[in-house]
Amino acid sequence: MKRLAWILGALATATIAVGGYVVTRPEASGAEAARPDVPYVEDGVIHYSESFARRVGLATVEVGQTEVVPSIRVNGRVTYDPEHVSAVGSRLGGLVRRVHHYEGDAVVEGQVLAEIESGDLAAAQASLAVHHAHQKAAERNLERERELSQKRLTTARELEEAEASLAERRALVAASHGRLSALGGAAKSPGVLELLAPAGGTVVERQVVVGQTVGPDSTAFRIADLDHLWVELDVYERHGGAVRVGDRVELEGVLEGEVLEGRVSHVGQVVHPRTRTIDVRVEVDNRERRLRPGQAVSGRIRTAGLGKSAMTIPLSAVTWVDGAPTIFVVSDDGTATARPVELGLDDGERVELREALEPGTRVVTAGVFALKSELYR
Amino acid sequence: MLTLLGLVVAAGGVAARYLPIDAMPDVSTVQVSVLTTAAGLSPVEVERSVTLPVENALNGVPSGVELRSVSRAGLSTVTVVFDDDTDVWFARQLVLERLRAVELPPGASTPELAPVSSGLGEIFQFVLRSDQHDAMQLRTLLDWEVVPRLRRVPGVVEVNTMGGELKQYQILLDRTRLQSHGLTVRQVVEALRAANLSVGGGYLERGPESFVIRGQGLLGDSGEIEDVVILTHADGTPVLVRNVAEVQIEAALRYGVITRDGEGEAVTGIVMMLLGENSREVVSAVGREVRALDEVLPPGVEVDVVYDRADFVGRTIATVLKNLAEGVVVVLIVLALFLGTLRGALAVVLGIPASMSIALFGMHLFGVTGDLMSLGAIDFGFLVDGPIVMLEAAVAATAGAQLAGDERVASFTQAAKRVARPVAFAVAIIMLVYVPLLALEGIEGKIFRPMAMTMAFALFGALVYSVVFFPAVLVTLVPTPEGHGPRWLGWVERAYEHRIAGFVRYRWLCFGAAVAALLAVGTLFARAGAEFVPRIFEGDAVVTIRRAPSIGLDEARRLDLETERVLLEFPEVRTALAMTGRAEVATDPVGNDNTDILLRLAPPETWTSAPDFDALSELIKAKVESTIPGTFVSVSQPIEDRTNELISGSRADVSIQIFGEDLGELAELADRVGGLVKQVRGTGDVRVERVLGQPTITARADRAAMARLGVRLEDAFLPLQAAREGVSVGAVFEGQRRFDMRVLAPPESATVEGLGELLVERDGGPPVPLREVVKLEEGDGPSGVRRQDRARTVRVDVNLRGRDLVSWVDEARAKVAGELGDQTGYEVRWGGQFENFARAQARLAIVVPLAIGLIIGMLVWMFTEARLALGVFAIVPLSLTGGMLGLLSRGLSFSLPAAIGFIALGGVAVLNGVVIASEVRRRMTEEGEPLEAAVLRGPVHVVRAVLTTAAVAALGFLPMALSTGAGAEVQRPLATAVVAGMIFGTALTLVVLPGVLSVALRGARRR
Repeated sequence: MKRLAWILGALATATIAVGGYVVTRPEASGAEAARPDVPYVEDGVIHYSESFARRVGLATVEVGQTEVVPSIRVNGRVTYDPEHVSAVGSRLGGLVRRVHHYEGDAVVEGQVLAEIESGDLAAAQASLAVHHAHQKAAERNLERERELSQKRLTTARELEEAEASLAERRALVAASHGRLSALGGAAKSPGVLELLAPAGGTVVERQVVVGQTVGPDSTAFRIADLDHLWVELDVYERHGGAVRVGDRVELEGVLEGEVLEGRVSHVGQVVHPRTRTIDVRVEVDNRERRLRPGQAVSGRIRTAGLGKSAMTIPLSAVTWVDGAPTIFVVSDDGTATARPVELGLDDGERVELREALEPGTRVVTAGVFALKSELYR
Repeated sequence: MLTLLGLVVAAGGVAARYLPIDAMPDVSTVQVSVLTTAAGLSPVEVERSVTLPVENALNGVPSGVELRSVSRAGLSTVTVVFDDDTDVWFARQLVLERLRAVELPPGASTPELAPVSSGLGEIFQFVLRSDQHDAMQLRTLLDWEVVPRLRRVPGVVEVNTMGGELKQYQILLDRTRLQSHGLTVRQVVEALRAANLSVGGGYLERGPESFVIRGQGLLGDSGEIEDVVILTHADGTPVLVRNVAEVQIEAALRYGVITRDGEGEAVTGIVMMLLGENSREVVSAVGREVRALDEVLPPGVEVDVVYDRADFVGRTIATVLKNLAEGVVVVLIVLALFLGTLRGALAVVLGIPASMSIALFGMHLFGVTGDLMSLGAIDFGFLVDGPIVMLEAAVAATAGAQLAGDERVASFTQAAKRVARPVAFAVAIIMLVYVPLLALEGIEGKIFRPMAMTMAFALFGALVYSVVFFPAVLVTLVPTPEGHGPRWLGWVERAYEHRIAGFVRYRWLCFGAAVAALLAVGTLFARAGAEFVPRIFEGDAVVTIRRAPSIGLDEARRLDLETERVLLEFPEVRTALAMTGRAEVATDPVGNDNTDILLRLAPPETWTSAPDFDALSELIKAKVESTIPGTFVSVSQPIEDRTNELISGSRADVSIQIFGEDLGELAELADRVGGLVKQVRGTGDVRVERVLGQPTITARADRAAMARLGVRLEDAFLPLQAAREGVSVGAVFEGQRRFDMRVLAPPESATVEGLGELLVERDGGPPVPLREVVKLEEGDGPSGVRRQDRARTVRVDVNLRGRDLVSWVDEARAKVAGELGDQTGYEVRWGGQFENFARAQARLAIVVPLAIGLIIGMLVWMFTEARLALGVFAIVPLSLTGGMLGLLSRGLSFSLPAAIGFIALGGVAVLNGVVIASEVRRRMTEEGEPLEAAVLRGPVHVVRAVLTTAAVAALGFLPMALSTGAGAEVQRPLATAVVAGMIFGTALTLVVLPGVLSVALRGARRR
């Protein structure tokens, strides 16, 4: 029965051998096979390699003390500067004979804009001529009377009558003159009224065409100096207190991508009941002709009154993690730490940090999302 | 009798022809998902106003076992999981009935049920490609030409389309022009809605004929939309849409993007199969239809197939058939070798088709699908055991005798009759051990019930064959043998005869050694750990990428393209198709942060980077994560991925769920749990679900300001709706194609400020900017709210590397419980694959003793002697030693297939024991041999039968144990356990059983 014991022994040996192999067999490898170049997070600190930084285009910037001036978005429209606009109207009814200038023409003060044939003017001119004639007659009559009077050929009464008559005629002439000049002054040709530019500028509006009858109350031309315009911005009442005269204003939507600057010159004192807005006026220099009266513009008012100097970071450095605005602070050893921050004012580019970081701290401005993703790994 | 046999086999052939075939059993649960869209609502809003009402309605629905939901921005998905035996159509009916009472806020769509499909539902995916068509044309072609054709294919329930650009008519308002006409957005919306309809007007009779009256005013193209009158001024000037807006044909707002091979965007369709359909047939029909598409598609457009279930089904079925065929050949060879008679062997092997036919009838009867599990686990060796014993008995009885005619028939019958009873019992016992497996539930039930049923049917067939048909076959086919078997068996028999006395004498030593071996191996085995179901390699891969929840679609697209290029650097990867987010018509509650990349892989034989799928997965993960920043990669497979998602809503090995109310608190707890489990050995990757992380711009109504300015809330929010998504104003029909029509008024810049500039109408005054009536806040909100069983939950997903599930979970669990302590109002639950394992274990704790009880019961019934029965049964645990050794030496851990192998092993061990024990007893009772002689001679007499059955059973599984084909992963542990267990167990039986019997019978006699 040695054989049996031998068999059992072999069996036991085999069992132990297999078991031993199983127990000591190395764990399935794989984790060891390739060490992936993946950042890892330890206690909220992201450790990353240089190649990772290159891959995600990591860029940092130092926090810095800068001025932040918050802004208010506003809409408004371009209007004429009342000091630099004039309206030319015909003062009497008549027919337009010629139009000398049209929209867009630049004119100087005193230039003839149009000619209007006017019966009234002709009548006035005629009556002036009549009165002139009458006056002349009266003058001659007076002279004659004087001569006669010296020769005692007439009565004192007749001389006085002649004097009175002349005075009356003169008064009538003066009245006719006055009327004529009120109607447009002396005309080169009879019955033709010349509409003259009261001030230099550009013809921006023309209401008349040749052959048209015009009334005494119509405006024929509007001439504006487009170098000077106003932008009237509607500021909703709740922002009324923030805007001050002198605040910088950036106007957008003028030309694609261009920003026009100006300053607040007036803040309205009343709130329009219909729109619930306050007018804020900006005088703008428009020598480059980028604005047009009536044009709708939008812009932002930099409310210097609310501005301050603070520790700021670029807005691109801020992301949201777990419900809080967060920035990534890097240190020299290739790690980044997510840091929840409290944000203050921003000016569209930089944002104030409520709690100060150590000056010289570097925050990530590009590659923020890649770092954030690591937190979500 | 033989005619009948022929009929049975022929009918079996027909049954095989019509058997539904799939790669794997469908393990997904019976579930109904309710999808509700609520455009523009944030996750918390969706939860409160949509998900909760729906959940409340569905709470307590009959047969419902689980209620879970996901609320995402604009989309609510509520899923009810039903009892496994609930009919899915009935379940849908129940859900629909409950939904009828739900009241949802305006803006929410009517709740809809997701299509009836399962984890195996996505059977086919393709991509449309063209050099001459743009993304919108392709998508339109897909939606209106391709999809309707594919939906027509029987068995297809839905074709989901994604990618490209969904064509939409957009009316882009010009705010300034609108203002100058004194018009509001609402007026335009209403004008458009009123300008797009058709009416019926009954009919007119004129003379003998009748004329149908209809009013046709549907908008047909951009020109017609432009001509819609919005309003006519007092002076008669109409204001048309063209005066205040541009009409453009543009892409609808996207929630997802598809890219392919790092080249650019693609348009894809996913074909879903109806639950319970025959995937082999459906997928081949879909394939045919797709090939036929060339006729309808314009020239230049091509269809590329990126996923085809037929490949996988084909490969697995090939594996199964190969294993089965090899099994038959092996059995035949072994029989010929052991019986020494080819005709006898043939007679025995004839039992295989016969019992398989009967098995197929059973499968049809009980709706079992033919797949890896049901067909793959059949060991023909088991089926032929009965006939072998009978043949053996007949041969032994008639060997050398010159018998002719009736005499031969009579002696054959005599021999067969003698062993019929033990054979019937033994086969019945093997059959019965499979029956308790039917009690398994959940996934393991779905996987293994088909296997148990098929095997039980097959064994029943074997029983029928050996008892009913075999004697007839035997008499017809097998001549009187000249000698008893081949010479080498005689040598074995003599060698055994020499030693058996020793075995009996040193019975206690033998028995002790066997028990010691069992204990030693058992201890080792217990330490080796366990896994649930081994991973089956499907042939394709899904690379799932999670990114930060806040990622934008453009960035995701860029990263996807880059990732695809990285993936294509692997020679194993043929094509890569990345799907980020969801389709415009949402079926899946995922966001931009979720990307699935479908990889078509080259056949594993050609792989150079890695030897197997697990290693390749590791490589892919490492490479992608090292190259593309901000990606979290997990590699899975199409069916695996989808199934895991459906089963527990999680794709991870272990999913730790934390339940509670406050989202902030939940997030913090999840973080802590994540940190703790990271320290446990074997932790692969840990992913803590982020509750927050979706940047949000919230417009909160400022009621006071609204009152001051005279703004109605509805008007205040209209511009928000119109800003990006657009306000729907109906549809434009181009023939049969229907396209959405929307009014849009986009903001000037993509900022809070830009949104604030949108104009809001108000009563009695010019419009005001939105910012004046609402508070616009930028912040970080929940990206989604998940609920399960009516409580909010956050998940920590863990995948393991190089450690088994169970021991890891035990350790991690203890650690978390220890460190976290008790959190009032918050609960931690452990799920994922592990959950299934725990449940299976609990079931097996009942099933295994039950099986043991059954076996003992049968033995007692047969032997009518408890001691003898127990003696025979004592062999069972001993034979397990071999199975465990086999698994250990191949580095396989304990898994469910292995457990089933053990059960089968127990059955066959009993068969052997029964054959030996009944021979011994027969000798004592019928031939009056003394115990000592019977114990010595009985085993020797049947050693051939025992060796033959054991060899056949073991070697029949050998091809399966060694197979490397598709799907072999599941069969390998099972087959290994059986092969090793049989060899070891048979040896042990022959050595130990005589001794045990001598003790058992002596006691019995004394009594």
